[in-house]
Amino acid sequence: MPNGEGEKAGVLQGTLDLMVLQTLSVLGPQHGYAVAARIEQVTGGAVQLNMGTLYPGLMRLEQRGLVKGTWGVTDTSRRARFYALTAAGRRQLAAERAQWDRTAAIMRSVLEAGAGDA
Amino acid sequence: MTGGWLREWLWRAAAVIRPARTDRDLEDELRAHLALAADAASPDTAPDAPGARLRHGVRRAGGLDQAMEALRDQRGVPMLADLGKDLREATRLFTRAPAVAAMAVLSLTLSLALGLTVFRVLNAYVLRGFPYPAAERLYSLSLGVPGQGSLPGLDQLAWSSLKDIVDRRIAWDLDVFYLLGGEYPEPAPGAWVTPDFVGGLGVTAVHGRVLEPSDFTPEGPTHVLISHRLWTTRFGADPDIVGRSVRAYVSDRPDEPEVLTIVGVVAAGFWHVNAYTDVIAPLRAPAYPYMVTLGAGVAPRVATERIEALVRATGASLPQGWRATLASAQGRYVEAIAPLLSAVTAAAVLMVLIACANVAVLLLMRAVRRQHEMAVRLALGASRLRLARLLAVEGLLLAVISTALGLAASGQIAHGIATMVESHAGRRLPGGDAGLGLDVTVLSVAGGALVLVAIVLALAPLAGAALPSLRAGLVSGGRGETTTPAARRARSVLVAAEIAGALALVVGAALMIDSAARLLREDIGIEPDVVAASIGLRQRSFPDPASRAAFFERLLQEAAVAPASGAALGAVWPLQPARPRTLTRTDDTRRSVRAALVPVSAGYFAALGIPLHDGETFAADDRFGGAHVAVVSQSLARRLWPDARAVGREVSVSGVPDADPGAPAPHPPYRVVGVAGDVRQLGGDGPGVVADSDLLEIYVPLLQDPGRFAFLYVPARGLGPIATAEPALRAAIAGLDPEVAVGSPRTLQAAIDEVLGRPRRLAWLLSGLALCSTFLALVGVYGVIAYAVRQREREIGIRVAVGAAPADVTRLFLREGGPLLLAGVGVGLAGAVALGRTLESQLYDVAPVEPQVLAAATAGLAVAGALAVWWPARRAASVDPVRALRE
Repeated sequence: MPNGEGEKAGVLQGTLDLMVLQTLSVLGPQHGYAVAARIEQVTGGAVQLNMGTLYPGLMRLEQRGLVKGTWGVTDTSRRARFYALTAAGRRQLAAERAQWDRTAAIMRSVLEAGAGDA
Repeated sequence: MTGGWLREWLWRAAAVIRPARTDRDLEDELRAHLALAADAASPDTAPDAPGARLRHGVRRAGGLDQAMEALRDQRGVPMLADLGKDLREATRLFTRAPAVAAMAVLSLTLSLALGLTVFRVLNAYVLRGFPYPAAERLYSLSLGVPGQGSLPGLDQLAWSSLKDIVDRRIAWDLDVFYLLGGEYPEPAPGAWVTPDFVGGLGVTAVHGRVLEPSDFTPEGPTHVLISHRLWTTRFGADPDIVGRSVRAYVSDRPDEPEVLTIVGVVAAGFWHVNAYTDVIAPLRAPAYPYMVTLGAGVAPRVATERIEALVRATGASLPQGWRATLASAQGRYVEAIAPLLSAVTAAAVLMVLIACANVAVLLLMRAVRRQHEMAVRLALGASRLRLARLLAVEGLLLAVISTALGLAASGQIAHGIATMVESHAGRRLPGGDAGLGLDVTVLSVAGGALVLVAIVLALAPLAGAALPSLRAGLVSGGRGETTTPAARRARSVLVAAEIAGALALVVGAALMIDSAARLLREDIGIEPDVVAASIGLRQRSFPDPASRAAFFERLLQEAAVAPASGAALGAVWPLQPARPRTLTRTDDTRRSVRAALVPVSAGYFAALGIPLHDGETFAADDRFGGAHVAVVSQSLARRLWPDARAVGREVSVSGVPDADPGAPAPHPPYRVVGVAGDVRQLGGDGPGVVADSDLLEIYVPLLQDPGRFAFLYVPARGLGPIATAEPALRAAIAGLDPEVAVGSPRTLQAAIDEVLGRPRRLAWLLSGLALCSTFLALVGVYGVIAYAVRQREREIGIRVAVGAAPADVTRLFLREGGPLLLAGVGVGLAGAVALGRTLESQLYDVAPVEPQVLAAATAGLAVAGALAVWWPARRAASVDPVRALRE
């Protein structure tokens, strides 16, 4: 599970991108803190993103044209940078989701078959 | 995904130059994150609310600084951004240690400037190649016994049978074309050339055309090319120059004027091994080629065999050892100077290496001083790689600055000394001044030097274990022994050698300066403010001495030369040693000397300011058919008549039989009517002035037997600057006879300067080298001592703590530097004596070993060396024991 100091950037990177894109797709345009809080919440605290992982990740997505960041104001009247999925981001999310589903399905069938034989 | 990846890196690359988001913007976002996390964790949030879980968020958020660092890395290209940071930090070297930086840059720049200058000259002569098409296939051909020149009579070989191996046959016959039609015949040095000259040497025309095969047929008008220079000076860059005709006399055939039809103007960049390029005319006689362009892929050996066979087939009787020789044209051209060039290049490379070593010592010293700082940085989490990179970037920065400055300076120096180089080498620079310019070779050597210097400078602090282990660095400040004794010894030997080299060069330079100063102070015996020009009469118009005498008399008397009153004539150039004759006293044939016979007009002495010590000049007899009278130089009078007055005595003059078979029958004896002051003669390969025994001269009336050539001397007083004087002078002479050839006038002062300039320039060159090497040696001494001081700071601290006086500490290091200086000076003195002997032939009135010069140079260098030791040693004495021990 990608987490903490031992997390490998390469392993995390693919899944982090997917997690962030998915979160933004569910929540709509949101700031970084809300994204991190939501991910922590839905994973039951298993994934806790520090700023040094989260924000470079958001910046990478922005550099790739998958999200777009703009400064705005939160409902608690704080200034924050809001990220929204772009069209490319939505396409990327769909593609990666499909890929992930396929991989998960394959892994599941392999693991379950293995358990049955044992 | 690939598109996204590409897009990301384009963004990041662009961000290196101009980031889309500022640091401020990034930080704002992170602070907003922390604020939101704090809001969520505020006490009014119920413990079981989702916010409780989020409370961890503040802790989980992590440090602001680390996040900023990660963001910056993601924003740009980390390596480039780091390089920029390292560069910024490296520039602090220049503000924090300006003396070290200045010394490093100065010594590297000096040595690189010198080294690259030498290389530019080497490149121009040896590496660049002649500026000709197919220059690599251009060979010099010699048909004779090696070392004895070519055999005559081989002009008409059946070269057409060698068409398959010899592409082009190039020969030229130098000539001076006196162009008529202007106010006076203007001398234009040119050449008669073979048809292949044009193609083989890459002659191109900017106007009209080049010479074509049809121009070489025996009949028809003479078609010529003129140089770009002649076109602009003589023809005012006339756009309709092509087709114009000009009449000209040529020295080889002075009787009939040639009509030359200009068919083209040669491009300005054309270069030839000699300066005879103003007129290029077709050589219509067969000639044996000095140079050939071999066909592509033809081996010189094969060509040599075929050419030899061709010559033998003519049935000519060939002497023992005869052979044909093909040598690369360029190789032959630089053959004689190549060893010298290589030696100088080697010396220059050595100098760059010494400078590198010096600066490496300086940087090493500085790195050691920063060991504590480095240890602290390591403790604070800087990676060792990062610190090593910082040190390397410092070296790289120094290398880049020095190489750039050195390269620029070398261009200036090379162009500044081009004339001197040419006169010393005795060869024109291939391609002219442009040959010294930048090209791929020079740039790659400069690049190579840059890399070499950068590597040495970057490795120096690392090799010196400047990066301490964390603990050692913090605990002891890393003042342990960081270099091996062998390395220290090597450095000492290097520095001693530098001192030795510097001393030898200082002494050599001092000798040359002394010699040049003596030469310039020397009284040559004439008043050099005189304009001289050669006068050439045509055989057809002036067939005998009587007619020439009549012309010269008119030349001297006619009002035309009046503005330049006081003109005189002489048959030989006054500063040049003339061929000696044997003079014998008529009343005592055992007394004879060898002296130069100088026919002059009576006004010669006044015009050149030669004093008359006794008697008078031969004014009355300076005419055709006058009495045989002569004026002798003072030294000659003293030698022939040591005890008596020379005036009134007689002396017979004979030619030198073997050297001058065509000399006229012995003259009747000359009666001495006057004694003139001695005139020194310049020239030759020596220092510029011939020794005392050559001061002997006998002046005889020129007009009694004038030849077709003479020098006209006009005191420059009434003439003004030579540029305005020249046309006036030429017009005046053309007024008498429009077809008299007048060479380029110049002042005797200019001629003297040219000859004396050589030792003076050599003195300058040596002084420059001496200055550079002295500076390098002092930097070396300073570096070694300062390094030693650094290394022993703790020891010094202890010494001071137990009561050593500052003077004791200083003495400690003087004792270290002393042997170094002594050894250097000792070897240097031996080197100075050797150098003096090498320079002996170039020295005038200065012994190769001058004790005073040796003593002064040694003392000067010793004092400077002692200062270089004392400066860092003095700092050792001021070490604060408490601080030194604590660190």
